[in-house]
Amino acid sequence: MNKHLYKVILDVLPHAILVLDEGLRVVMCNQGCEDLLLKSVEEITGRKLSEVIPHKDLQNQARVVLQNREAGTKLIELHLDREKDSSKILKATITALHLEDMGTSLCLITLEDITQQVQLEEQLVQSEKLAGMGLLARSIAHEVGNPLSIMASTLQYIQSSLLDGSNQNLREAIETIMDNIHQMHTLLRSLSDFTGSKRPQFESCNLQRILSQLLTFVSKEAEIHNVSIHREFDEGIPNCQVDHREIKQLFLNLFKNAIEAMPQGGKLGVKMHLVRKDSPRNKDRVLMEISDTGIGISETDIPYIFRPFYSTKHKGAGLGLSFCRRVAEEHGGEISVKSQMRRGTTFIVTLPLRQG
Amino acid sequence: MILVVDDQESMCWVLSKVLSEVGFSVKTAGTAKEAFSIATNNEVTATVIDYRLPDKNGFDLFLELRKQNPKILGVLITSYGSKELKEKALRLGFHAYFDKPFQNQALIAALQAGLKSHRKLTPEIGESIP
Repeated sequence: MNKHLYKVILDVLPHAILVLDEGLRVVMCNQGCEDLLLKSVEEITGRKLSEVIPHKDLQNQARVVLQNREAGTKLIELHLDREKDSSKILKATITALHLEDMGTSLCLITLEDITQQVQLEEQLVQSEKLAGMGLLARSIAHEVGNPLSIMASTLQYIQSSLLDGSNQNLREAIETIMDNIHQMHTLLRSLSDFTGSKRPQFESCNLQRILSQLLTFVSKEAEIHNVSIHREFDEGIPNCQVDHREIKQLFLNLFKNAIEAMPQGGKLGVKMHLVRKDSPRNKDRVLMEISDTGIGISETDIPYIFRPFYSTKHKGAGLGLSFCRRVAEEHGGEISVKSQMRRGTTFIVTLPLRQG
Repeated sequence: MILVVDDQESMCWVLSKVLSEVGFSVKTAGTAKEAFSIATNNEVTATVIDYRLPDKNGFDLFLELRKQNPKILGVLITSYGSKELKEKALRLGFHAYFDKPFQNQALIAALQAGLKSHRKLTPEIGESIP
């Protein structure tokens, strides 16, 4: 009865489990191995580990834990090429079981499929790079574009102030400068378009799912910094038309900032509420609050934190929050902040509930 | 009186020159707070607001100014232009919207046309209505 129960428990676990003898031969495995390795339990049992999973590092680590009692548990990441299917990325946990009464040792390998998680992380890193480049280009376009606009307006003013019949050469000189300003503007615009800083691509997305994925992504970092995550999501928030790449980046920036603001640990709060239309100006919208219990932002910094190249961090480029504001605005929404020194900061992002 | 609100001092300077040239009296402000204190005297008939201000966005400033003076005419100027921002500006009641850089003449024309139609809609006491 007990043996049967153990087998049932082993089989329902979401991970693949292999038990090896000292010669690295499989003495038992669970149902999870069938799904992951695409071989039946019978086919796997009795085989050498190298035949089941041809991965040198995995064998080496299994040997290490069996031979060295001090070695403890080993963790490795491995790529598994499967015959009929796409390859998988696995996290392997390798532990020795020293069975003193039986005078033998066994090696327990747990394999966890982390393919999706790794892909998500890669996507995020990629979109972070792209967004960073786009933002930099856009910020340069703005910072250079602003004085150019002033020059254009000033030249037009000079031009209109010239009396009729005044020096023709002077008029031509002004026109030459105007043409060049125009050219620089076109160049700046194509620079920001070229680096992927295009208009958002709206599609129907589940904001709860996006935020949950991101929280999983930052949970490791939060744990390292002793930050606990508290979420409060309204039930049944409908899908919303957003550019999922940009929205992910927006919240990732806010989550990372929040964690960085709590070097001594603290609480990261994430709330999502549906706010129904309450005036002609305010239609149905989704309100998200990202709060931390960190160092806070000083009153003198608050008016400037959303500006490009403005940073209070030693290593910051000052682009993160400026990106957040641009994304929120491009979605027809808003971002605002409330902060108290040594108490913490709350960012409030409001997005219109555009369905369809 | 036209109130120009832009945190770029030289933008304020040049717009004040351009608009005075065609007969408007102009005041300028670099922040929303400053703009609000100037507008309290109710002489401001129109305002040209840059969307990005250090202490508020142009939308919020305009809505506050309009609470104080419901007849005030608004023109939004911005370097961060987008279709969405333009739609939102017009929905909120801005009379015109311009992406920077813009033609000075176009700004003047928008203000003149806006103020003219405003006057028609809200005749001053004593003014004869044709």
